[in-house]
Amino acid sequence: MFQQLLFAAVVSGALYALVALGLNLVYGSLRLLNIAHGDLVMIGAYVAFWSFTLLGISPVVSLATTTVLCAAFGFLVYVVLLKRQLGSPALAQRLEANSLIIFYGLSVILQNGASLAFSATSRGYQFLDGVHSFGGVSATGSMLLLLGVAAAVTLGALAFLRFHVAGWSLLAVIERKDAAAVVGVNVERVQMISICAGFAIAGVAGVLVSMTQQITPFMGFPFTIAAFVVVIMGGLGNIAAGIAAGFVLGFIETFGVALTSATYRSILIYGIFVGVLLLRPQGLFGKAVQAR
Amino acid sequence: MTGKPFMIAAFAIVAGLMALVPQLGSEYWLGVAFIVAMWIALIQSWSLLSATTGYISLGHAVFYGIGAYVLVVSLDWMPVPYALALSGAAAGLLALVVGLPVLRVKGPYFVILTFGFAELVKNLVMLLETRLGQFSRMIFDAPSLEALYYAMLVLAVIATAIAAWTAQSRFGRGLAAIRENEVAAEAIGVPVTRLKLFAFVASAIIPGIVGGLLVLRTSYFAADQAFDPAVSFTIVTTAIVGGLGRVSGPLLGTLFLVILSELLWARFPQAYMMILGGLLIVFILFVPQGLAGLIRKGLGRA
Amino acid sequence: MTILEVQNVSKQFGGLKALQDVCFSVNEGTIFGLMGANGAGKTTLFGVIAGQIRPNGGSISFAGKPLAGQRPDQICRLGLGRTFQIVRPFGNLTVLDNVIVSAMYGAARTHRLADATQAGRRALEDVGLAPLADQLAASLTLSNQKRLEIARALATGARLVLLDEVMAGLTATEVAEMTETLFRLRRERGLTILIIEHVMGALMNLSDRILVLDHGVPIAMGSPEQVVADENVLKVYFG
Repeated sequence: MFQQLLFAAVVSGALYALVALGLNLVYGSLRLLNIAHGDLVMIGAYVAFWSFTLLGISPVVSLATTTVLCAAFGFLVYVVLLKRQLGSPALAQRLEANSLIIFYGLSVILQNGASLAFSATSRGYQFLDGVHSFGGVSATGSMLLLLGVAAAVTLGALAFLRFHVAGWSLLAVIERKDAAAVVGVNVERVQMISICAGFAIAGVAGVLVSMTQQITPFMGFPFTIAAFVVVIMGGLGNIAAGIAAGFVLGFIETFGVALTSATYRSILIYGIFVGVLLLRPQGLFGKAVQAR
Repeated sequence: MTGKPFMIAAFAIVAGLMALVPQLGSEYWLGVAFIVAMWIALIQSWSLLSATTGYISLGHAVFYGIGAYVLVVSLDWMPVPYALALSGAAAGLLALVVGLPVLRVKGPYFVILTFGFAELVKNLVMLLETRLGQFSRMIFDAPSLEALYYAMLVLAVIATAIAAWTAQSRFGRGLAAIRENEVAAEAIGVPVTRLKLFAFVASAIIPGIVGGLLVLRTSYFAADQAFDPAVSFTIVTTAIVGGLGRVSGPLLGTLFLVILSELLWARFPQAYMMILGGLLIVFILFVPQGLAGLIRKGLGRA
Repeated sequence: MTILEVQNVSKQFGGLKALQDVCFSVNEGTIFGLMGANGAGKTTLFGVIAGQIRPNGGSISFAGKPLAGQRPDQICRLGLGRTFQIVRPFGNLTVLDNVIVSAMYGAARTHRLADATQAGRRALEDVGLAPLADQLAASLTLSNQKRLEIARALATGARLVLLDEVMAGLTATEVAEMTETLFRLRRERGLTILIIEHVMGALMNLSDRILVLDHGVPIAMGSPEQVVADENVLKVYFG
């Protein structure tokens, strides 16, 4: 029983870490709080669902299609809504303050668009649902696939940031945008790539979610909140700590629900979210821990 | 300053005309007028906090919902007017209790915190109702729509009057200083924490009563509907479309919203929400002064 | 008569000792200068006096009242105003509205709009901003925003103002004008001034007494002539 819970916690932790990674990239390099992040997870989930049920395309293939689709959507959002604003400092300052509201509008559009197109019924499909048992844990193939992909993407991102020059310039933009520009980093390009990558990662997470859970047009918001919790706990731009925080949240949620009941799940997530923000009112960027 | 008596006269005429709506004898128009008054009351109250101090609340549905809940529960023990007063008091009390910690959180973090907080309260009330074995509650002997409408209209007038008074008062100037620069405001003697808390509580009370009135109108309470985040979303969108920082903004925004909603809401609810989302983005990016600002600019040019 | 008394004030940020045992007192109606290189702790000291920063030790009293545990707005209402080195105008308000809020909430607590407007206009005239009263504060040049900082501190009805590098970026003529303005304010309003300034000539010219800080440690105090002749100061400034 304990091992089973532990496994469930690891699975949801890996998922949270992945979703939060995308949010971290967008917030880190653009300073925009993407409240529509979870809705991109929803989009990825629907792409996988329809590809599988209508066309018989495996979710593994959908991983690639959603990556491209969501990245393209990120590019569109960047070019249409953000580029001009980010360009001038005065506008960018206002944009930062308004970013949340803009993405809020986007979130409502995506949710209701999906509900209009696909109806609000929850849906699911069966893929790799054969159960494998090892060491007292029973896991479906889809769960193992989820773990594998999530691990590959997060570790890949980690390695990229540590070992690749482009990764360093991304870290530089996250740390000090103005200084990065001075030392020759093309800030605009880094921002564009970050938003594409952030959106794509959310889409990939959506494909993984669709294999293991029921999906609805309104499934995104809890993921947004969970991602915020993870990013706030882990710290901005700190990808490694973000991954750890993802697992912490996965453990708290899984064991919390196991000790009480499923009705407490939302309360637990929102409660942690409110608590974390109240304890760190300076938000994602808080440096209070440093100034001991 | 010639504009001021003119504006007061214009508001008085609008309120007077709205007071005559029951004379039309049309249930439909009375229902529409009820909704108009409701949004005006909600948005003026929201503006008192969010437009003046810049602390944008995406969670005002929490006050509306708590008002609705308190009303439906307290109706078993007391007559309607007392229950409504209790709704407002409960919303104000909730704001008072959570205000101090919540208002320490600034900027975008405050915005998202209010959203998460409203969802938390919604889920807590849903859990409580489930525990009590209640999935929804009905009200049987609610007052007539006409009576409810007059009550709502009074709330709309009070909320508008408070907004107009605040705009030129010492209190309003202090809030504006907080919006512009909190540290500097405190350094010139503005008691920042107290003023923010006061605005927060004041902006919660009327939405609490509005929530109570709406439950009486629908005779039905279910937690997920009373705390619907779409209410918060509509408040913010309408306020921004109408124009922040002007008393006429919420009126114009509401007019626009209600026309749009009468045309679309019943038949295409999702399309309606999508259009609202689009409007929110367009206005915040390209028309930050809102309809009120556009009209003012248009008049100035003519 | 002493209006401000600072005793053994210390402040640490993490391992950094920003202020160590700072002691001085300022007599009413005098101009007191603070000198020191960047990072010497001058602005931190202002923050501690005005209540934005809580000290780790020591005590401060203003007009005989201890300031410990008081919030910035409470300290302001006692009659102590300050400016910010990095200006903080209320950008979307007019210049006049900036000073009106000050007059309404500061030590003067002028609740009536007409009285607050009068007090505000007087403060604007004192710093030469009266012609720009109806402009948005955000549209002012930096040197005018620095003047607005002073006007806002004056409009609170302060008896003591802390001026943080209000002359930085001014031309030589403007520095001379500002010096003249500060002397006039002391004369006409009986104002006490505590001033941080990198423009050395102006500081020497203005100050009755000067305190020199080096890495948070007070190294010399006295009249401008005494301070420039002080061994420690010479060592720090000229090596």
